[in-house]
Amino acid sequence: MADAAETRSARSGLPALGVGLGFREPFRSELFMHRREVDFLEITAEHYLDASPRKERELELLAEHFRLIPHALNLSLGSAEGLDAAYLKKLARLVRRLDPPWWSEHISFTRAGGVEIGHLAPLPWTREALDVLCRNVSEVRRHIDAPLILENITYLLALPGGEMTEADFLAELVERTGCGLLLDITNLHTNALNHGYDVEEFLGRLPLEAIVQLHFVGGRWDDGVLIDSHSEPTPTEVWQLMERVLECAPVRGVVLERDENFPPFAEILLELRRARDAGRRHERWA
Amino acid sequence: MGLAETQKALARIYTDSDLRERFFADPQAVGRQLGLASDESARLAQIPPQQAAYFAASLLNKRIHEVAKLLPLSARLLGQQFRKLFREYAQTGVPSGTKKHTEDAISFAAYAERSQRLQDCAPAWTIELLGYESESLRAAKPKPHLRWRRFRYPVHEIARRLSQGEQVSEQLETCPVVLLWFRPSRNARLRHRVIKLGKGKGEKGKG
Repeated sequence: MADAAETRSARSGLPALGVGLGFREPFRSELFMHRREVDFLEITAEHYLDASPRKERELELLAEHFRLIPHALNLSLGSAEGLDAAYLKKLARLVRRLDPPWWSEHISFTRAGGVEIGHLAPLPWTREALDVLCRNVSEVRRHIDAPLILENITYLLALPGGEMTEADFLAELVERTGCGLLLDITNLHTNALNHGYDVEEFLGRLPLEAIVQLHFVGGRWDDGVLIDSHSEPTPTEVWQLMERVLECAPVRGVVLERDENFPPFAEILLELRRARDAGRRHERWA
Repeated sequence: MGLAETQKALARIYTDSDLRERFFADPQAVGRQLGLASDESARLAQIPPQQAAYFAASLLNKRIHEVAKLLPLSARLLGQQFRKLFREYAQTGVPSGTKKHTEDAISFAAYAERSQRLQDCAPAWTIELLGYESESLRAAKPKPHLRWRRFRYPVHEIARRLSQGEQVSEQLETCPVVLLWFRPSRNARLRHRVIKLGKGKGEKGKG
């Protein structure tokens, strides 16, 4: 098991993967037709933990043609009651099987007291929540050797009682665990609009050298609230944020996360090409 | 009291609309029931109730979206009725585990099939279609198994036609069938058989 310092040091040796896509079944056949335009795939880990024979075959097929990065949703790293051992065991088995350069999970909690919330719920920005995360990340490391990177989430409500800003919370989390960051720039943009904070100030407080991967996509507006619906083309502000982050952070890969309202695949490809060009401009990948 | 107790309370507040309303009406009394200290109840009561309700609604919409993907024909046919029924059903609990969306869809289908309101307003075969989609989800499990169910309508044929974009009349004559699903071994493909129990009389009118 690696400690925080070893993990931090290993971060600099991670390969540059380039431009990836969150795998979704509706565009599977087009994905294979255009596989040279997709450097890697991010797969939702939960879809393959207790997989049916059909999903097993799908995973094998994907792994034959793409580098796969597992992206977990329900490990509940922020749960103060600890991790679900059975879930962690299954996740560890999947990660070992795919042997990825890194894998990712969210900075959130999704279950407590036997209740599954059903989605990513925010943590309070407190020392206690940091301690919980560090303890749980340490437990994860006992089971999974591949580097874990941690993703910022969107939140429709901010919990009271915070002792620091979200950016300071992320910075300390990265410092204490040695984990890299999966900076979801759409989430950052969404939270900044919904909660009225300044993106530049946020980035200024982050350890940019820890950013390994980016997520990007567009959301929709609902009654004055920007929803992280993964359903729209990436907006201009998020493209600008991508340029800004690629300029100053050693990003190894970016992933388009489209989940709903699927456009023709040609539109997905246009977004991937644009991201590829942005990375090339900043010499993040070839 | 610490974060563990707070998270337990939040998980309930996010997923139980009745408890949420009671908490924001009387944070101290309901907080005590949830095992919260007085200062913790007071802190959580600072969450704007409309924000908590909005987050809860987003969780519910996500559940509906996932279940609609698993029961696509029923979701399409029942439209708003599907969403309305799901909101009723969601009061009965929240699913868990790595197969939670599938379990949710199966439980919801069973709930909807029993719903008197649905029986009063939807053609009988649409309710059977829910049962068909639900049985298909059960049958998709990877272990070797044999399942069967009797239907009053040829739901497999109705599902095929709807999937191809065809219209199906609301006034269908019954034509009982038994559908079988079986998987002889873990890695074998799922197989289907149809046993017709009676002669179909076709559609009564245009849909």
